[in-house]
Amino acid sequence: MKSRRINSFAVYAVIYLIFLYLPVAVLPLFSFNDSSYVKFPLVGFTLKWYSQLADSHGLQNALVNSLKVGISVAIISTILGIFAAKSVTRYRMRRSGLLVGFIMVPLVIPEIILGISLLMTFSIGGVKLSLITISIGHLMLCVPFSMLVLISRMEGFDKSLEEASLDLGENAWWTFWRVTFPIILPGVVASLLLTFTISFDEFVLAFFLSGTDATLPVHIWSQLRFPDKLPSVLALGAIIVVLSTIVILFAELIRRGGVQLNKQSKV
Amino acid sequence: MISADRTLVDKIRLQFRRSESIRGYTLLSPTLLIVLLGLLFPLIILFTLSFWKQEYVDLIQTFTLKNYGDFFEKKIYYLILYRSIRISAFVMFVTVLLAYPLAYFIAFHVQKNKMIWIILVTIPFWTSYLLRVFSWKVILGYNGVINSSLLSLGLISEPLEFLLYNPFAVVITLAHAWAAVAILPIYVSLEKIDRSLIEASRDLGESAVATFIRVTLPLSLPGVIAACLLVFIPTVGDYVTPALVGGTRGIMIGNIIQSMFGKALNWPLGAALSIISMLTVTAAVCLLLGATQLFKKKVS
Amino acid sequence: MNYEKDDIIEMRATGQMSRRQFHAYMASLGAVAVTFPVFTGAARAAADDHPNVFTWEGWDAVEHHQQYLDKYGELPNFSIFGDEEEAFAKMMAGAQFDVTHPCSYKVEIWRDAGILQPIDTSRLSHWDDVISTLKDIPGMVHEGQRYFVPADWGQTSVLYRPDLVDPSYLEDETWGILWDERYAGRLSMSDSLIDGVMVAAIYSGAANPFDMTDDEVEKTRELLRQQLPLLRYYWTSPTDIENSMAAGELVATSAWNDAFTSLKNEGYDVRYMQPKEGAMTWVCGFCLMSAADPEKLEKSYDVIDAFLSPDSGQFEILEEGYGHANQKAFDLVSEEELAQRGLSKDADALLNSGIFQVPIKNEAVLQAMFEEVKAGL
Repeated sequence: MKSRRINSFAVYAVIYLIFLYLPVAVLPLFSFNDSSYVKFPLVGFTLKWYSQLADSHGLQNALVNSLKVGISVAIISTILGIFAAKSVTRYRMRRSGLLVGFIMVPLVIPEIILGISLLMTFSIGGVKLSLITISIGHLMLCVPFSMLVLISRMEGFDKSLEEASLDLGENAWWTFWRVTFPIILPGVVASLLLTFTISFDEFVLAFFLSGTDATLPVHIWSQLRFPDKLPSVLALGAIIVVLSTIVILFAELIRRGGVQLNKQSKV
Repeated sequence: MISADRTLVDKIRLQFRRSESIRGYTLLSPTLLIVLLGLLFPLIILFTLSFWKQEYVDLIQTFTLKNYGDFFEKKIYYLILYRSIRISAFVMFVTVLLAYPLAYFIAFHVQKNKMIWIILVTIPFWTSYLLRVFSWKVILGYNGVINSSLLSLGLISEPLEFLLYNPFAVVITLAHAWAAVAILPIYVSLEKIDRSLIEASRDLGESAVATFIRVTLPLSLPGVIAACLLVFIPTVGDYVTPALVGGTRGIMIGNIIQSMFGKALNWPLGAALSIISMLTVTAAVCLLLGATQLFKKKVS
Repeated sequence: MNYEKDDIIEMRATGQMSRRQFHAYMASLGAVAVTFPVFTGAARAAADDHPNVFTWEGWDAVEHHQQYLDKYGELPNFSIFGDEEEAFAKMMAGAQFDVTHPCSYKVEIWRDAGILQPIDTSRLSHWDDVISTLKDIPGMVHEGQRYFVPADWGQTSVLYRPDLVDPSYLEDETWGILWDERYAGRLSMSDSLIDGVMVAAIYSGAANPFDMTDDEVEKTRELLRQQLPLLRYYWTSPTDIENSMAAGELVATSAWNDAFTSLKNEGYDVRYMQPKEGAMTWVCGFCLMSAADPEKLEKSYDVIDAFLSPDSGQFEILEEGYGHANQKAFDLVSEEELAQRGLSKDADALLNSGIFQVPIKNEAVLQAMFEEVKAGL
């Protein structure tokens, strides 16, 4: 009985993954297709879109820019999210609901409004548009995401653990790293992944807040307009998927190696 | 002197330790400050704009309620807003419903390598939203994956046209686009549940379903709520997806607001519309939270 | 080491995640973060001493800027927009660039908004070779000062599949095909005022589509309403319609010349109409922004001049399928190649044959009307 239930969940998970990866699978398919037009039937095999990609500095720069913005936004917003989530779940505060609500405001503002009004703010203040202005915009968007994910992790957190640690003579800093952090770690990882993904993928804010350094979505938005540019963008999408899968598998191998070493040293 | 000082410092320190409020706010302040810095000006600009009006390229800086009046007078705005809320609510429902079992699977059935699963779920979202929307067009399109395979199997003789360029396509595309945003918070809150509670319930003779409804689901509610909010709120204002796959009837409030800041060149009306839409979304969110409170009470 | 405490942590940390594992995860996350940029090569820093050009995708192609590249050894900086509306919104909100590239019907409103500055054509070496009709576009010179340098031009007309439509359309070309109920669900129209709503206005027979009376607006609205259920979608980018035309999903759509050129180049049998009601012609070109950096003015002129060069024009005609402002560019292209693209050496004649796109007078009213139609009202 039990094993059958596990199976049905696993089957669902596989179907769900197919749903998630179906659109992604389309990308490599047409990146090897010898036609500007993305339609069936496929015409023939070619590598020309990949060589076009190698020549396209705009695309490569945009990718690097997006990585820079995404990684910094993920780290900063998760740190800010930890502060906020911890304070909300740990302490009973008067009128905190209102302030937490305020942090959530960027979620409610239509992105185009946030983009334009932030741009107006920057131009009034004489701030030059750059990757930093894009990051600030993304930060506004990502902090609420991070906070919500972490709150759902920290709610019901057992205070006595931290108190025990403090009583045992650890200071607050080490208590955080050695007690609190390991417990909220799944939330932290989820938050990092989520905020990176959001920033890496965000287009509207990035359009309004970018100067001459475009991020990947801004670049893709402009490339999507012309069919003969499209297949090399698809090629890039395919490369990103394959590359990130490889990197993650590689990292997992390292991690496993690390765990095994640890186990051995324990013995 | 010295001792008096010391007691004062001690008092403050004591007060600080005792007062949860103060400690909480201290911890909250960095985040709050940064969001405040980033949002204060934009919000002021937005509110001020919404009470002005625009003539050609000039903003007329006299107070007027005309923009808000327009919303209630002209049918189009509240009709579209209502339509957007309905579509977003539907997207939220579908996305969370589909995501929950997967999050459950990762949290309870995957023993090793949970992180691999989590990352596996997020990888598709690193390929750029615009490309994924484009892919959906290829999948659902006239000569797309589905139509081509159905045609070659001989199940249909003409490509199905109802797959793309309608609200249905918008819902599918959005449910896919926001999948990770729904899965992660639900997984995080499921992961936190103390397994012994579930075992205890089973030991007491509750069925698997009853255990799920009485123990697992209520305990994972924070994550479900977070997922609902994170999916529902941003999709209301989306204007790219409806423009790309929604066809002639797919427009949402985001498209109208966007056009106010572009083609229609009426920034004040755009600002007023977004404030109204923000308030409506907030009200809808409150309703959702109220409903879950009710659910919690009922279950317990 | 306090074992007791460690045990608590181990036990409570969801049973999965020990500190050791945590370090391993952090290390792997670090690996992800570090490896990524390595694979993709270093970013090229934008050079600060070159002008910032805010333009359409494609217009940043190196072929258009060879003359500039030869002179300075580097390209100007580009920032790309998808359409002029979002570009305008961005500039109105305060984004600053040196040179921008709107189409002529937008120049008046941009100038009135105070974001453009006058251009001194004597600083452009190719100005004398610019087709004279293009120099005389109304509204480009204001109070004796020129605000717009034409660079590229083309048509808006009907693109259709001769194999999928009634043969009578081959003889009798008309915008009316976009209202033909036989092709319900197989038609498309541009999602814009200038290339969409104006098509309906022309088809309705409005005396001046760009300055309509209330009655004429109502007629146009009625036509748009009739058309809505017949459309597959309103298109926003050439990619949409080109893919759909290639697939046979669409049989006819409004389009610019480039779609015709690219489909032809890929071997598809498509035709581009010269409708009896008149095709639309448009011109896009350069403006100097009032926020431009005075120190980069010289180079900004060089950006414009490079684009106007015959070589840039030849590339424009052959690769992009549009007309170019420089008469000499047409001498570098054979009659045959011009004809394939629906162009001819006598650019003046072609420009004068169509309905020339000028600023739309009651833009806001028309936009509101268009939105109501799209909302099904």
